[in-house]
Amino acid sequence: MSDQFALIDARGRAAGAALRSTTSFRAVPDLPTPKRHGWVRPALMAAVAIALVAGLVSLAGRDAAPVDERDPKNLRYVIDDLPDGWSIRSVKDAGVQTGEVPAMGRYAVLFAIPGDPSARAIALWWADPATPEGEEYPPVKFSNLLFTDDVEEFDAAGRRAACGTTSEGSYLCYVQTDQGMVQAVAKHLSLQQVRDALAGLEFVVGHPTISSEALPPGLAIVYSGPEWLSPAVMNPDSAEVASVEYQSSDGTTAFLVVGRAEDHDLAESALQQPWSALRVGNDPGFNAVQGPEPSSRSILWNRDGHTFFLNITGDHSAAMSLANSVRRATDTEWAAASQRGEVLQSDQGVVTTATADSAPVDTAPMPTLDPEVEVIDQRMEMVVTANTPDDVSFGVLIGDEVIEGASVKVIDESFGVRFADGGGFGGSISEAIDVQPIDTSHLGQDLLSTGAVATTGSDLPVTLRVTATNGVRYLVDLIEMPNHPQVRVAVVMLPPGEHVSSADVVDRDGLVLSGF
Amino acid sequence: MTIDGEAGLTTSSVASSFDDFYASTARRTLSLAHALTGNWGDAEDLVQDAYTAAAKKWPQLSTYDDPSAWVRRLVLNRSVSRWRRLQREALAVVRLGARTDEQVDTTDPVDPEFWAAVRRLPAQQARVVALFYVDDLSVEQIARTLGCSDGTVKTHLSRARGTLACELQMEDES
Repeated sequence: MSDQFALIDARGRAAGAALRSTTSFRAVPDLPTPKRHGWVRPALMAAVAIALVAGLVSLAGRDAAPVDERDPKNLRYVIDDLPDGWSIRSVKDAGVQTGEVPAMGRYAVLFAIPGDPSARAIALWWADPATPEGEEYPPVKFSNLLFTDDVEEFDAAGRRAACGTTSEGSYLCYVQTDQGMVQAVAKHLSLQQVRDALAGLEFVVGHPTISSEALPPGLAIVYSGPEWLSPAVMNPDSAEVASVEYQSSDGTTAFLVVGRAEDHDLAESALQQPWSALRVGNDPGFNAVQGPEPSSRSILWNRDGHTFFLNITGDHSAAMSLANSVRRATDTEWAAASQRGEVLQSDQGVVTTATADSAPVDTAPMPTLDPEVEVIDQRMEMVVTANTPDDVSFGVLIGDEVIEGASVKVIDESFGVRFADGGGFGGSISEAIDVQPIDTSHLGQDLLSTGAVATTGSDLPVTLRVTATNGVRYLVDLIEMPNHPQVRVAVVMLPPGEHVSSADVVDRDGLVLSGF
Repeated sequence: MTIDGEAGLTTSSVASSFDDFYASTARRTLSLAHALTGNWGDAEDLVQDAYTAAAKKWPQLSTYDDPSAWVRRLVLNRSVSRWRRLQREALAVVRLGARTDEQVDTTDPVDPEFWAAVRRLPAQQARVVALFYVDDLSVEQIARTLGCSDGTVKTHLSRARGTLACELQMEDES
């Protein structure tokens, strides 16, 4: 079968390359302009003409008519202090859904402190395994914890559960329930608080939630429904918000999104970005910065019963200048802006958001499961030799020295190996533990830029032999996986810029058993 | 195989504008769409729809590390209905004791038999194969695109290779 796999792999790569090559000679399709409803532009032109003829509306003035708080027009805001070279690219009213968010296929519940996206929060994700969405997007497995730290298994009110710490310092957790796996992410909470909360996991009208008694103090549901790409308050396409897109002469864009505060709690974005508190004028707000300078900056704030989201690429002072100059647009301004930019109209229909039902129906006691998560985290001694000692790096040492910091985790059907040496290099691999006797697909093909790994269920191979593109040859003995003596593994990591030229596994007599 | 860490991470540069993004990624996406649909017309429709949606969301997407992943996911999602139809057709043909007769453009030098076999795989397996061979993504990148674990991707890939090996061998023998 391994030969067949290699043949299929070679044919697949050739077919993929041929397809890419063929495509490179084809013209890419033109992008259509956003759809318009036929009545939009005439209606706007008529509105502007009426305003001009009557001479009753000042361009700089405010609307004098009483404001209907549920009127979508009430969410029309603009940036007053627009820098030179910037212009409006598009405007969209509330009630209009533009674009389409790919279905994530999962259900999400977010518990946070209302109004504060920078504070502690915990979210649940779940997909009904009996639905196509659950089949298409298997949401969670304990083995996703392979690359978290300090994995800890526990009993969550009779359910099997485990948590690990992510690189961002949050907790990633999984709970096995009769209704399928539930994933949880928590920030600014202690592990004990997370465990207590997950002990209160329950299903209400078929959806997961956490009982109010088990929630950490101050947390409340701020969102429940289909998993969001981003909450509506940060989504300019949402029918629940009005939005204006600006563009500078150099192509930089800024986006202003406005929704009703009663509909959009700022905490809905708690897990989206690393928020910190600030003030926008006299109003409390939050700021998040992502990426290197010029960074993407997001500002969230509440004012006058509205929630505002501003995103711009630029420095802090520029972003705050724009945020501070946001003001309500007059009908005339909006009409004029609509004439200058694109008026985005719905081409997908209004998308409504499902909300959680509240009547608990799932009151049957859960069967008690014996915790079976098998987590082993231990050092793995891997002895590597090389013919050019000067080129050996990344924890791959010479002679009989040992890789320091390599660790192995085994979680259910998967294992992971993580490397770290004193020089700061970190690397890791993961693989299903149910390996073929010798799976040649592991010999370099997926590790071309970094190294090679061999996994085997056979006791014949004893050594992984790797030759790098710089001519250095590495030899490393296969070792048994902790608690899985039927599976053995060997890994070689290569210096940056080097690739695997060849890789094979050999038996005790040096006979090549399988090669790449 | 998944690699994390300094040497293993691949961070694509974010295009400074949507036009640049479209110009730099559309053809690769078209390849993916063709692998999933089997004909250029459907592939171009998928690409056009996906990038039109991306254009509307560009201010937000442009802040992502890899906006093309969002587009890929849209293409993958929108190919589902077609997938399911093909699956039903394939099952029906199997019941009748004959092979599916999906039409392929034999003038394309892209191994149409291979891609036709890919399109007969379960949807998620086929997506993984397309992302792996057409988009040349790593297992980790595929997992991020599909929103599943690395292990799931590897399982799909392994099973798909096994099925393809059997099926294409049968074709050769026939």
